[in-house]
Amino acid sequence: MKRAVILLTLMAVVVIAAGMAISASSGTPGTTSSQVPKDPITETYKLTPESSGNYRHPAVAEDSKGNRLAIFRGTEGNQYYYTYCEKGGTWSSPKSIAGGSQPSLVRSLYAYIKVDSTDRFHCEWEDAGAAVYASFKDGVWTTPMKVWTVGRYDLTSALTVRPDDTVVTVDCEVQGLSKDIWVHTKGKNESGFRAPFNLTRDPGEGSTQPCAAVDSKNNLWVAWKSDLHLPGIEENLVIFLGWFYPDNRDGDDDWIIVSSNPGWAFLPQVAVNSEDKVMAAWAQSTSGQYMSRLYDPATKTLGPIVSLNIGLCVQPWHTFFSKMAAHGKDFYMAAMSPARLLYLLKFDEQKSQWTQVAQVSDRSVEMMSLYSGYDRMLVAWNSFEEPTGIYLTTVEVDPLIPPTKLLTIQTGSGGTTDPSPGTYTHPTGSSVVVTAIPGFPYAFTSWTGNASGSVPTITVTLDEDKTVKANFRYLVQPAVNIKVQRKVERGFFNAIYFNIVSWEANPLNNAQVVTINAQRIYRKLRTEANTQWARVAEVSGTTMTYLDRNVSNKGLDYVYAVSCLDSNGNESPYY
Amino acid sequence: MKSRFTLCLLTAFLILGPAMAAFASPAADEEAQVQPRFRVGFFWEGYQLNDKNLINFYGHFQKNLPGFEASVHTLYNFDVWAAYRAYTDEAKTSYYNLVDRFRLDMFSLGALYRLSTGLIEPFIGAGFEFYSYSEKIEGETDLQGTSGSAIGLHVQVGTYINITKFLAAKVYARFNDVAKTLVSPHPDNAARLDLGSKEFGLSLMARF
Repeated sequence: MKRAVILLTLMAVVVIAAGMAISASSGTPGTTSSQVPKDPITETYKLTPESSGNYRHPAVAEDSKGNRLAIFRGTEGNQYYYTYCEKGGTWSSPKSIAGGSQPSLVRSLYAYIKVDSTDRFHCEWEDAGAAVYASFKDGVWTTPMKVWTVGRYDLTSALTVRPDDTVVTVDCEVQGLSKDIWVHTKGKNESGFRAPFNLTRDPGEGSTQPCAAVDSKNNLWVAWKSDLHLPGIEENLVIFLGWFYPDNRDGDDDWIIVSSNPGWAFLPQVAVNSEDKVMAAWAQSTSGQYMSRLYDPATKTLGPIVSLNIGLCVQPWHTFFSKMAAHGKDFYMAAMSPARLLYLLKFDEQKSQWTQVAQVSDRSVEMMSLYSGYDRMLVAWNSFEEPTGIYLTTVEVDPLIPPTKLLTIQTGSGGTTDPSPGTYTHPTGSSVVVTAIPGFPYAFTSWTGNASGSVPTITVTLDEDKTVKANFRYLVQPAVNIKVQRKVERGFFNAIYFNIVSWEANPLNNAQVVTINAQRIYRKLRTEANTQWARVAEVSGTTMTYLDRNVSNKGLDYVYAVSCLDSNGNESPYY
Repeated sequence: MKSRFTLCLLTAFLILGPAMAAFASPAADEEAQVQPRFRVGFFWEGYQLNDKNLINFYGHFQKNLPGFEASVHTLYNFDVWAAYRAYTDEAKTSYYNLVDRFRLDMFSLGALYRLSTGLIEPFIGAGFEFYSYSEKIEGETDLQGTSGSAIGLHVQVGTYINITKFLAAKVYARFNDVAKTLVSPHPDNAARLDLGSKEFGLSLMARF
């Protein structure tokens, strides 16, 4: 304990000195603000009401429709609250999550929200005993539950969601003298988390403070702090970056020490951009800066350590809190300066430096959350001075280039589609209307592939690459060349009249080798409407004449039609 | 219609008047002892249909018919006269060629007025025609046969030739007006069935 106090004191001195040096050399934190052409902050909105209590430790996220959810610890300190704002609407009054039916908090720190492909908000907040998980969609919360731990839970944890909608949390669990990073997964349709898995399995080292992100291949990238033992160095705190297959197997590459070694690094952040490049960031107390490092898995290239150059917040205790998020191929970080002012920075890969985007807060900040929206970064933060409140600052950024999915439209023989068959690129999540258009003499029957049903017009939502196929069937055709011979069998006083109907097989049916099982003869008066067709007989498929004896009046002029029935009982049109 | 009714009354008068008088008048009895009162014979005649539809369907404008006739002298130069003959014909139905037989049974009752000049006795007469007709189709068919009856009038003219006291010949011409309106028009779309005819015949009769 004594040693820890000395170390913390020493660290504080170093950090303060570094911060003062930075301040002396570059003025106030955020010296790059002059590079900002205009204030990109759209708005700062206070999410919590005026209160004598303290709201803390927020997280925020936005779904694909622009609906936003924020969660934060309530003023009583043992429950998490939420407020929700539908796109274009107003924020709701804070309410206890799940009506208060949640594990009671002892102590909290980080909170996360990630949104899956179905626009479900997956939320995690920390308790001293375990992370608590719940999800929210369409105004309904699942019952919050503690994430299953094996050892003693050690703040901090992190949550992310894979492209396949698997929820992944990582935390630090202590078993005896061993601190390890454990992963917990919950499949898309699973009700709970599977058994925890020990990712680090390094009994000789103390691994803690994990952060996680996923790449497009569902691989999990984890950055964590590890007490790496080196000869002659009493305490060597470095940041590891490693990746793991979706089934938790170690990735093919060794873990990378991204921070300076030896060094004192804390509270790493990690994010993966749209190019699957990985950015890790951490608080480097020895240099009094937030540091970062870009890693390109494709080329296995590890970039230089790059400082955020805003100093490190160390007062009143070592609150090296920062948050990082990928926005398309860009990386953004929200980090507090030594004055506890919150800044949003963007990484310039070409120059390999961080550029200040905006000063998010004009007051001291304690904790923040950063989320990448479509065309804005959402920064939820709570003020430092008590009573603390929750604020949401939105910062305008370049819109994301929407990811795209492929829609392949195919047809069976006998028809086409609108759009025409082919492969099209559409924004992910977009909806495309496809209509099946049967040619003559075909009828649309069904959709197969990633669509089903027998309605000709469907709407395909491209949450993934999809293939739809329109199927048609030959529409058996009626007989042709129908001829009617009007005959009379008469005596002197009476007569009976009848018509001899003859026809020919439809050559289209012959060409399709359709078996005609039966034929139906329909009749109406020439002057009647088509709705008046009446079936008068059914004959075999090979019969080509019919004697209609039931002609009651010689003065009536009948016309005839002959439909064909195929082996499946499908009847052709007949007029 | 009115003239037809008048003709009926006149005919009835001609027939019934002499008949009643024959039984009522003793003078008639005396005369009858001088002249034979009854004539019974058979005839052979040319029978000509009036109805063009019948002619067209059955194909005959004229047929020769046998028949029977009888008369009785009543009063003065009046006779009551009756005759029977049957007309038959046949044709084929139009599509199945089934045999279609037509039969017309004709019974006549009327009065004659004779000029008694000895060898030659010209006469004129009028009376009623009672006809029964039928059509039958042979073979299986949905085509229905038909039967019915009709009443009409006739007028006739001719002469008796008294060959002997007990044998006479007769030549005559008769015009029949018999028609009826059918409930359902026949296939020629005509509702009027004309069974009228013209008869020209020769009869051989016994007198007694």
